Amino acid sequence: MKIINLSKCYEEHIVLRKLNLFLEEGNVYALMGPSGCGKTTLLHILLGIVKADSGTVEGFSGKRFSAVFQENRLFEFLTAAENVEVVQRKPQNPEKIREILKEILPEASLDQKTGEFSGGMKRRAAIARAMLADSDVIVMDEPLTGLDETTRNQVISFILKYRRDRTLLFSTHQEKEVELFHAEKILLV
Amino acid sequence: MKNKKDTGKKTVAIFFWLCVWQIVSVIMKDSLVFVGPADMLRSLWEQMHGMEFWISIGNSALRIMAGFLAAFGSAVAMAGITFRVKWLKLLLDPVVQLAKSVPVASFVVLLLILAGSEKLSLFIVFLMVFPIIYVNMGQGLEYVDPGMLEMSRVFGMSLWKKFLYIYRPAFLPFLMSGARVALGMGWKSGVAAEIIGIPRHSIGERLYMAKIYLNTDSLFAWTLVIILLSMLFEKGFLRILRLFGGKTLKGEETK
Repeated sequence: MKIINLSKCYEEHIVLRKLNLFLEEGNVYALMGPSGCGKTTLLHILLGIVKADSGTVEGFSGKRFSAVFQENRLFEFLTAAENVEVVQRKPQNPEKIREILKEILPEASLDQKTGEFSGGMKRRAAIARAMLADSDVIVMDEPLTGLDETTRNQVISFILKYRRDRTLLFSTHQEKEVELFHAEKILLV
Repeated sequence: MKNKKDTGKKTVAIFFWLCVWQIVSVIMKDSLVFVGPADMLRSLWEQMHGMEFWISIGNSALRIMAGFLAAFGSAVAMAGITFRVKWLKLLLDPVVQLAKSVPVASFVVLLLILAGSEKLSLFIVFLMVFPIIYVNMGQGLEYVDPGMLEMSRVFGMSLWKKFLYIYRPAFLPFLMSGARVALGMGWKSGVAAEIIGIPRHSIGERLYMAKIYLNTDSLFAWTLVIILLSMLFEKGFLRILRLFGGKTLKGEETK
């Protein structure tokens, strides 16, 4: 998958300037860089949410995406399992989804609506949704923000377990996360 | 617990005003001008034993609900279309504004000439309900979360799922509040149109007769019937909307 001469600016502010990247399918990539360097913009361009001003993105068409957004974007009137079910392209066994969710969320929370969740629990539900969706590429925007260290390790194990050789691209500020994910680092400046 | 307390307080308030009403009617001692709740209920009880009572209710309810449902359906559909086709919204806006501003009486006179008295109430209800539902539905659609739409696109959610989980929770509270207002308005304007058009075997005709023969007790009894019918239809229709909303509705809207 290639990103060639990608540029994006918002009014006067240049966010991405002639970015070139080559991403190998099935690898894990960590997007790093200071705030405002264009990490989220790049992820949104790849997801097709934002249009680049110039440049091309090759090898992404026809790929199925799943994502973790900074704001979670959960259906707050549904449970975590229902949130996972809703985005499935093919119907899945709800019991199986519940069993998997127990690995990342407290069992008692599985009958609660995600609107009643704490920030950390919402984050984990959003991560579970992205990991359990039927996709080829997983994109995550600062997925571990707001999680304590124990939960963070638990979530990383969960992500690595359910990645199943799919391409994973995530943004982070933490060097340690790059190591824990065994990711290739992409530095945006 | 709080609900029970509130219901108790409301019952006491209603009982208090019924007592005031009865006392005033006893003091006035003039059943031509003012009747009490006891006379009203007696008149209602007497009329309930005749077929004419039920036929009138059936005819009026049929026309008013037909007008309401036609307006509801077409307003929801039009709001959905104009949400997508902005130029059509611009084109339709003055017409909706006109329908909202023109007095019911003007429409009644015009439609009496064009449509006759039989279907007058149906058309009047349509004209009164359409703008309310159209505007509310349009506002609700504006509340669709663009972030959730982006998310649904990324995950490749079907159009049906987008409708159920993103559009429905956005527009339904607005649609319910619009339906609540429109149902009350529909009954009021529908019966008013019947009083002017006087279609045979209708609530409007009964009210007109009560006026002609100075049957104040009958007038009050029919007014009570209209209030009860309006409440009944409102509760029934909102229940259907709540069923349609399912778990996407929160708090107050589920009651």
